[in-house]
Parts: sequence; structure tokens; C-alpha cells
Amino acid sequence: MSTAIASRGEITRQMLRGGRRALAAWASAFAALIALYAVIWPSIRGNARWQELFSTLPQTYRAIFTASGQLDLGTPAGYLGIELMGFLGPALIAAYAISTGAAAIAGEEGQGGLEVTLSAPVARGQVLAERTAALVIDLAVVAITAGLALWVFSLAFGMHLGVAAIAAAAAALGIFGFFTGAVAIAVGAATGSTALARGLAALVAVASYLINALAQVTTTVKPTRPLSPFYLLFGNEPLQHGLRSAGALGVLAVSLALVAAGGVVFARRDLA
Amino acid sequence: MTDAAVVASAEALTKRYGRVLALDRLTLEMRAGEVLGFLGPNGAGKTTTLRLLMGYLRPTAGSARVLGLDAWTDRVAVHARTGYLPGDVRLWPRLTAREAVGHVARLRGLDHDRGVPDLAKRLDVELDRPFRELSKGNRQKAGLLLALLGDPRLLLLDEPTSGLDPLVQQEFHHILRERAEAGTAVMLSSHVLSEVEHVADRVAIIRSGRLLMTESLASLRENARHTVEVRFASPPPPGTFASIPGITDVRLDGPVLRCTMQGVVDPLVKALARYRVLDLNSHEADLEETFLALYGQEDRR
Repeated sequence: MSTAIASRGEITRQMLRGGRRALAAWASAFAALIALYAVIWPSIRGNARWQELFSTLPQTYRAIFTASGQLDLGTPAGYLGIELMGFLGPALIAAYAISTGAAAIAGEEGQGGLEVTLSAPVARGQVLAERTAALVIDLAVVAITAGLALWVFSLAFGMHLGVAAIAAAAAALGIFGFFTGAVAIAVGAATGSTALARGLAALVAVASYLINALAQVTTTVKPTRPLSPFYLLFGNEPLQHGLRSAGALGVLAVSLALVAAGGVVFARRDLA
Repeated sequence: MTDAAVVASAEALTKRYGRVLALDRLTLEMRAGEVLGFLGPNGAGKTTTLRLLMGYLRPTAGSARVLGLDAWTDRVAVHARTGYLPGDVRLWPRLTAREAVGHVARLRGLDHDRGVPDLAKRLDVELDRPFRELSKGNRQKAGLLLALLGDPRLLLLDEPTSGLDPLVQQEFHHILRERAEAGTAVMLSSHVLSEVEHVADRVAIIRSGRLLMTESLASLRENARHTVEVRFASPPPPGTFASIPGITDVRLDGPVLRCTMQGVVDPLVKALARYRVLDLNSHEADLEETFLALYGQEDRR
């Protein structure tokens, strides 16, 4: 039908327009954080005592601060691995993705806008797909901004990070964001509850981080480590060793499957 | 009107939430060119009915159909020909009405300038302020503008005139009449008859999820009640007027008669003519009273 073709992309564009300010704020926050780490780097570089301190920490602590537990803090990649990639970077992008993902369906539903959008001849599945596409674009902008900031500040402060390593780190952050955001979108679409969408997605994000950390120190958790998206994306220390594509593709596939499952329930449930 | 095409219908439409029966076997038809006032107290099931017709809710039993399509399974096709105003118009807080109109028009695949400026002017919509700054009445007007986009064949309007000032309300009723004359079926809900009596051809009354009755406005008017007060030169004998058809509440205080007439007043006038009448006052009770009287009768069954 011609009306459906005319409307394609409109919902994505509208969500992007509505989220412009939040996107600018989060992307700037990422760039500022990376700038801060880069500015501190010259005073840390070559400080052997720091590496010693880290090596003497119990395995549990090292597991909590880094994705792999194995880092050379004397190198810029190791330094950023612990400061940016080990916790704060994934946490920040997850927070952004979860709040955006929870707002995509459940938030709009609670606020009243969804009923107006859905009064037009647009299938619920299309609304979900277009809003997911908007989240992907938002996250790509944040990840690319982070990558650009890494590249620029690496040049400015002599960190000598490779372009491939930077791309791997940015991709790992973006995909982790998409995974947590997909949980929020799917739960929100299936239930209509923003609180549940945010809560469950945050729980999944924390669980994936904790499984990876605990798997390094306890043998009972160890077998579950490959189930943790945090491990699959950051366990290889992307800034040092790149991204393992099988793991990354697996996380992407699971994320898309979650959104699709949320869409199936969304199409069959009553609107709130 | 009865031979006009059925645009929307509910057949034994039922919606249950757990133990609460929100709508109980509602059966109703709306025809092209008809304005139907859907009346009932808050919580009676009006919004539930409209949302079932929009395919937002899945019927527990029965079906809602629009233009021959099932409202739940074929909702996209239904929405292409239906305009909807939610009971509580809450739009995107940062968008202006102009931006929201553009968005919805693009979703509908319309050339969005056509007809919009004229409608916006008639409804006095604030086009360029963000929704979060608008009063309830102004949000309502913007919502109406959105519902009217693209000349829908069915308009489902949930409490459309609540919060509107009388002039805009009147203009809005003109717009609805124009749409109805062009063949659109209009359903507008309200909890007060006075909001729909000037525009509706027919009213359907719902309470506690059940349809109590449907009645044409013409027949409501025919059944309109008049209160009559007569002063005679000398008291007529008691019981003179009790047997007049349609008379109720007869009170004779010496030379003054007070009563209520339902329907045609002619029998009373003929009876009065046999006496010397000094003064005669009659006024038509508003439809609200007529409506309540009928409503009350139905209620006792």
C-alpha cells in the first residue's frame, strides 16, 4: 500500500530528532572522559610502581577492574583497558542505551505519543523496527565519537593506538550498548512498562559484567563465562588484541532475536 | 439514513480485565453520514469501546469491525481510514502542533499542507508552541486537528469537546457536520448529553459496560418533557386533569395547576380550554432531563 511506503523511515527520523540533545550530551561525555584519561596519561606513563601495585592486587580485584585480568598498565592500551574499557565505558554506553531503549516503546506508551503514532496506518512491528534502527544510529554516533576521541587524543598525547584497535574498542562499546538497549526495547515492547524495561536491562548488564568477573576467580561460574556478552566483547581487551568476531556477531544476533521476540509479544498485546 | 452503508460495528463486543468486565456484549452499528453520541458516566466503557475499535485492545469475545475489516487483526488497514482522538491528549512534549501534524501526515503518506491551515484556523490551534506549554484545551484542539487529517471515513473521538471554550466547540461541531454530510461516520463520547445534543443524530447510552439504549435525537426531542404551570380564575374540580394522556406530577393548589407533560401537549390544551385561564407558563425541560428519565426507566428493568 502506498501509504506504508510513504511513511517508511519517518518514525526513525522522528525519534532521532527527539533524541538529538541527549545524544549530543552522551557523545560529548564520552569524548570528555577520553580526553581526561589522555591528559593524565603522560604523568602515569613509565610509572612502574603502578604496574607493581596492580600485579599485587588479589585476582578478584583485578577481575573487577578489567575484562581480562591480564593487562600491561605500562602501555596506553593497557592503561585505557583498565580505565575506560574495564568498567566505565561499558557502563556509560549501557546507561545511555537502556534509557533510550526503554523510552522507545514503553516510554512513548506511558507518555501517550505511541497511541498517536499507532493511530496512523503503521504496523506495530514497523514502529519497533524503526525505533530500534534509531537506537542503532544513536549508538553508532556515540561509538564513533568515542573512537574519534581516542584517535585524536592518542595522537595528541603520544599514545600510539592503532586505528584497528581503536575501531575494535569502539565497536565493542557500541555492540555492548546495543545488547543492553535491545533488552530494554524488547522488555518495554512486551510489557509496556518503562520501569521493568530499565530494571531488567540494567540487571542483565550487571549480570553479564559480574559473570565475567567472577568466572576469573571461581570455578563454579567459569563455565558460564562464554554466555556473558561483556566477556565476548571486552574479554579479549579490544584495544590491545582486537575484537573476536564470532563473539561480537553472536551478541548482535542475540540482541536482534530479543527485539524480534519483543515485537511478537508487542503485536499481540493490549496497549496500556 | 438506515440504508447508508455500515462503516463500523460492534458485535457482542466484550472486554474483560481479570474479574472486571469492562464491556459486556456491546452491539452497535455506525453508518456513513451519521454522528453518534456515545454517552455514559466515567468508567462506563466508552474509552474501552473506542480503543477496541482502534485495535489497541484485543476483544475477550465478540468483534469490532470497521469498513468490513476486523479492528484487531486488520488494524493497519483500518487506521488508514480512521481518525482517532484519545481521551487524554498527550503528545510529544517538545514538538509543536505543526511538527506533530507534519509527522502524522507523513506517517499517513499525505500532502500535509492540504486543508491543515484552514482547519487550524477554524479550531484556533496554536501551531508553533511546544505541547508541554499548552493548556488542556489547546492540546485538545491540536489532537482534533491530528484526528481530522486525511479525511477519514470514520472518526472516533473520545470526549472531544471537554476543555474547549464554547465558540471552538461550536466550530468543531460545524466541522463534524460537514464531515458527516460528506459521508464520514462520527462517534463522539461524552458523559454529558448537552455536549453532543447539537451535533449528534443518535445517542447510545452505556453504563457499567452495557449498552442501555440507542435513541435518535429526534425521538428524544419528541419525548421531551414540558413543565406546565396554569393559573385559573377559579379552582377547577380535583381530578380534572389526571386522565390526560402524557400528564404526570399533577399538583392542584387551589387555582394553580402544576404538571409535567410528555410528548404532545394538545390534550392538555383542549382540557384547559374548558376553564377560564388567567396565566399559562410552559417550558421544555432540557434533553438532559428527558435523557435521565429514560435512563432511569431503563435502569430499573
